[in-house]
Amino acid sequence: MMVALVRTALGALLAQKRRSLLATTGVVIGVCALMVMISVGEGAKRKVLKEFESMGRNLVVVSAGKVSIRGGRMIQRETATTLTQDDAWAMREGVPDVAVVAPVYDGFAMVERGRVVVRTRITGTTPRYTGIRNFYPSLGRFFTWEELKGRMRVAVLGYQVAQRLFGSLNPVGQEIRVRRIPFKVVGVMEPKGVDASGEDQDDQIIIPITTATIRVFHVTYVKAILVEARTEEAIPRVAQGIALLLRKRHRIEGRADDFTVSPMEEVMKQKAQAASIFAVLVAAVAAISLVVGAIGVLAVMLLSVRERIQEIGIRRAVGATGGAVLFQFLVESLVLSVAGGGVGVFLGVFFSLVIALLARWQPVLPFKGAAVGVVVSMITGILSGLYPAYKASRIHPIQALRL
Amino acid sequence: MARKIIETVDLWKEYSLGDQVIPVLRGINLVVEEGEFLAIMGPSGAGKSTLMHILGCLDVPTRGKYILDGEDVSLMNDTHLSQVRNRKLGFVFQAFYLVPWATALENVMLPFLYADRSPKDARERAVQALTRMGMGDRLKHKPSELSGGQQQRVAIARAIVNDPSLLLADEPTGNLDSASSREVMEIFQEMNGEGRTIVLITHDREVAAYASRRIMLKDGLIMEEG
Ligand SMILES: Nc1ncnc2c1ncn2[C@@H]1O[C@H](COP(=O)(O)OP(=O)(O)OP(=O)(O)O)[C@@H](O)[C@H]1O
Ligand SMILES: [Mg+2]
Repeated sequence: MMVALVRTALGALLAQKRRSLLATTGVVIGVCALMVMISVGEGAKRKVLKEFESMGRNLVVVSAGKVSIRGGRMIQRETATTLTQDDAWAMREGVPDVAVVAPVYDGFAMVERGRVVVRTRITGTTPRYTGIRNFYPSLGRFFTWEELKGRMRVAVLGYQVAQRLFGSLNPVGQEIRVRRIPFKVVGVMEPKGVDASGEDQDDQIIIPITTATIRVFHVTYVKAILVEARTEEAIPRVAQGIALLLRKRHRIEGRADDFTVSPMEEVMKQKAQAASIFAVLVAAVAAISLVVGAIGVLAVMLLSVRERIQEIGIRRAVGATGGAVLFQFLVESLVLSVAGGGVGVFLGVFFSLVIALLARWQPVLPFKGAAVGVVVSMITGILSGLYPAYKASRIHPIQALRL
Repeated sequence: MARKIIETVDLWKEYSLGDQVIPVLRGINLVVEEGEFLAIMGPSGAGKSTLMHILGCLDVPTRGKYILDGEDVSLMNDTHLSQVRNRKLGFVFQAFYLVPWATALENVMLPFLYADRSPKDARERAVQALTRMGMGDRLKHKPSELSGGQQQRVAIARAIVNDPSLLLADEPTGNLDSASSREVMEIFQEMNGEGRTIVLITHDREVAAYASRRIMLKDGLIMEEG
């Protein structure tokens, strides 16, 4: 009975191929958008979470100059040469709830090992950096305070730089040249990838900040100071304390700050929000096209019932009950939307994978989305088929056969 | 005495238009026995189709009693009537009434779709019925690919496929040329010869001549027999 009914429904729908196709387009788009929404939301959430975990806890970044945050990325607007290592020490002493500070100066440089030359970012900082960023060497060791105080030429290579310079060799103990200055490699950092700042943490060489400012870049200032607050609750207070302190130290009165304090929690929140705004947008598209799809199916089914009054009369004459007619049209509407839903799921999987690829997420097969898509298209089919099917079932056999 | 397939007692059908009540059938008393071939004649608007719809359980009388093959159907609800149609009745209409997008075979199998228990050999039975109507080589044809006479033969195959107790035909030759009409009427006569009970409505005396008994319906009453 059921099989025969589905076959009947397919026959009726195939008899009106173009119209069936048109009716189901909305469902196709709706289900596709729904799946993209689910997998985008899922992927973005995972990515943000991963970044958040890898960034370091309770981190406040103090940048020299003006930095604005757009969609979770920090963008340098203006530079300044007024932020110093002494500011960092002053923060640690003068701002309550500051646990650790690490000044950073970074810049690009050519690095050689024999004939191999690469261009990479040189990050000068202190041994505190590892703890603040939750980022450790996987081979060898980090440099020490003694090496920092002695402005020693020691380097810890980012994972990718190590591979580019040394291939499969162990770099520890080897010599490299940074801007022609010889350095001894003491360690290789663990792989980390692109982090919340948007910079590839594997494409850099970390050296003592003193060596970086005095020997390599010849500057007296730093580009940023990483600050770890004692607790999450203390973050706003720490940020405010830092701002007050720096304004006093930099003698800022009646002019704009020459620094920017960015609590990374905020940055991450923005990022999560940006992702969720996109998800909301896609959700709106999904909802609208599902409604359009439902209306499309409804309209086509109503038209179909009107055109097939005679067929309904024939079916009633040979023994179809009102319920059987209702069921038939419901199955038809269900088949129509589930067919659309199936195509939508197919497209949805495709687009989800494409987006994951472009956004460099781990591509997850959106099983959850596929299941939701199928269920939603079934509900759409039943809801939009209900009224036409009811109307069909109420057509009196005589009325249908007198035409 | 032969079994009564149809027995009506003082059957009335009235339509109300506004506050006006229009009686279409005004007390029909009719008995049709098993194996009879009855032709109902009468002028247009006499109520022939109305009567056939009631006899065919497609409609219900305003009052009166109708016993079909031993079952009182005058008090049945819509669902029950549908089941009775499926089990006991076969219809042939003037306009053939085939499902346009389905094949001849699918059309003939239609009654099985709504049977309580559809027989295992539904398909063979449908093929058989079509073959009997000389349509065995047109199983996959759509109605639009068939002539009027062929469509009516498919409709007759559908009407007899579930072996009904009563075959009802409302002007089955109304849309056919004389050659096709003759063919169709010969089929009816043949089926009556095999013992099938048939009630046929027609305007045409020549068509009515195939029946074993004729009645005249006029102004909602059976006027003459003969
Ligand atoms: N739903 C209805 N409402 C009001 N009047 C109706 C309705 N159905 C049928 N009638 C009337 O009942 C009368 C009998 O109609 P019926 O179709 O039974 O006639 P008929 O004998 O079959 O005519 P014909 O030979 O033209 O087919 C007609 O006058 C028709 O107008
Ligand atoms: Mg009539």
